[in-house]
Amino acid sequence: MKDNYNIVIVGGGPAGLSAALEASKYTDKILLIDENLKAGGQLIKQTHKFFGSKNHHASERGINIAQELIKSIDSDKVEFLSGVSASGFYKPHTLLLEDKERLYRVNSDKFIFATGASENIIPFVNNDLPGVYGAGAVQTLMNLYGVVPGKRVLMIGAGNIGLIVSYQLFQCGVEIAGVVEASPYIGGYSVHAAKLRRMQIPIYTNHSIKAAYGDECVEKAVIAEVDSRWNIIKNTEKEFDVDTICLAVGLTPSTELLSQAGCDMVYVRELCGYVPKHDKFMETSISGVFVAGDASGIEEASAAMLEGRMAGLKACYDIEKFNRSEWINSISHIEFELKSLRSGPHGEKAVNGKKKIDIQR
Amino acid sequence: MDYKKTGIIDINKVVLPQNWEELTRFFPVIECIEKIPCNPCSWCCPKEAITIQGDITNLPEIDFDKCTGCAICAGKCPGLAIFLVNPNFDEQYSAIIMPYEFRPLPVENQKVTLIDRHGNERGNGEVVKIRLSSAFEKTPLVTVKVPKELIMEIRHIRAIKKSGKSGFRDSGKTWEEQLAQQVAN
Ligand SMILES: Cc1cc2nc3c(=O)[nH]c(=O)nc-3n(C[C@H](O)[C@H](O)[C@H](O)COP(=O)(O)OP(=O)(O)OC[C@H]3O[C@@H](n4cnc5c(N)ncnc54)[C@H](O)[C@@H]3O)c2cc1C
Ligand code: SF4
Ligand code: SF4
Repeated sequence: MKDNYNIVIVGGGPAGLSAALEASKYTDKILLIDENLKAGGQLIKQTHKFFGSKNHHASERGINIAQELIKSIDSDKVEFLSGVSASGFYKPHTLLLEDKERLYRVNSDKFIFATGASENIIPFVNNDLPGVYGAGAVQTLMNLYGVVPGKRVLMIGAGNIGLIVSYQLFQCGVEIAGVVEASPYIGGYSVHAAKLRRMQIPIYTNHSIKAAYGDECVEKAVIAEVDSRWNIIKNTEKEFDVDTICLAVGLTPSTELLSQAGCDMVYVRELCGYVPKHDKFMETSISGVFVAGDASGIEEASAAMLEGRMAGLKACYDIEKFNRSEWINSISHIEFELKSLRSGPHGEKAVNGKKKIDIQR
Repeated sequence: MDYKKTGIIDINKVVLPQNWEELTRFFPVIECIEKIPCNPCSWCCPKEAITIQGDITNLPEIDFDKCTGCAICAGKCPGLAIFLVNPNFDEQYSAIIMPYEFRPLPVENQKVTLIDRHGNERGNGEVVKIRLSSAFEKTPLVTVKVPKELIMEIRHIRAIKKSGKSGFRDSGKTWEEQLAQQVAN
């Protein structure tokens, strides 16, 4: 551990790891920190095969993708600190870190924030009863520690996370009473929905959760139909005997540090929360401060890796002298891939959202 | 857009070979009809039979003449959306190769309950073969004999429950052990 680094990267998910990998091709003295004990971010909980593109490990299982990324990073150039969280940023170049024992700081001219996202929660009667979980917590319990959360689960949210976590629960022998979705359509990919349907798991679109009941923990869940404005329609309730309610109702970018640093922040619905304005190189309104991955708007791992690589490449630019033509090639390749990834109906949100926070330099 | 409400696709939207009912070999049925950013099926095919033109979100297209029926695509597809079918596996039956990511795995010659896209039970079938390969990213492929008229409907299997006991006979071996044994055979 030194006091000064060429680049400091906060967050060791796919975005942060890719940033470290790309930056280490051109420079050294890179610090990568993660508050978790293991690097990999969301990936270490993903036992399913990833969709996405060949260059970004599609078809491999998330857990293996994390391992491969970590293996390919040169540890002479990148120092990794686990169990360390970043808790404050002080312009122009000081980051405050803390671990179990102490509070300390590091200096650098370049910072990349790849802090991912946090899970949303929704209001309903008794949503604080034990047995109500976030999907991420269920995945951590199940796929990291080998513990199932319950015997019969009601999943709230039919986005990709709700669909995939339901499938993983089913693989662990847990019964799924159903997947509940307030919008009229299944938000996740239909290939993931099809897997659940052939296992006879119902998907209730136009429904939302109204209440959980139970003495000391969840024993029952009540859902009801909702109208187009997501208001509950009377006398449409359905009851389920379940011991677990799992919420997969969206993610919010974790951007507290960027906001505290003083980056220009904008609330963008399509990107799921407050995100820092940034240019195509992922540099925010503060020069030398970059953002990448879900922290810059919720997308998926392929996009996170591309954004991380972009930020890593740009951060090196002022630090070292190197062959610029290879560098330019990499940049335009990444731009091209991002554009292709965001084509099609599922990419519209990201395209529209990113337009709203674009900084032209 | 019905499948966005139900999660169940209309098989008529899937491209099949001409006169497929008469074929006596396995061919892929790619049940992926939504534009999503995904392309493993296109680059994993050793015969380049599956292509995704232009943007990664475009739909996979298949040239059935190039396909050898190796089933690598079915093993790789993260959507578990590719099935291989042989309409005339023998005189009486069709056969389906399907991805099956549950434990324990069925064993060869085991009778199973056939399940369709809706999750409904549709009678019995028989497991012919289990394939494990590192090329399939740990997704086992199970070949099941099914009545000919159900070939485009059956997409899942369940173990037949034996008096109180449920589930398949567990071989008690790990995935790696089973793979090693298969390689040795
Ligand atoms: C169930 C599920 C299934 C998915 N399936 C797919 C899929 O099939 N294909 C696909 O492409 N994508 C998929 N995704 C999405 C993908 O996992 C995420 O988009 C991706 O992980 C985002 O990467 P990231 O690096 O931005 O953030 P994360 O992976 O969330 O990593 C952020 C890291 O930052 C650390 N961190 C945060 N704040 C601090 C701090 N202050 N100090 C120190 N460390 C900090 C966190 O501990 C974490 O490790 C899935 C996600 C889920 C939940
Ligand atoms: S079965 Fe083999 S040859 Fe045929 S499309 Fe799939 S991968 Fe290609
Ligand atoms: S790999 Fe599967 S899910 Fe992905 S595009 Fe091909 S068929 Fe669709």
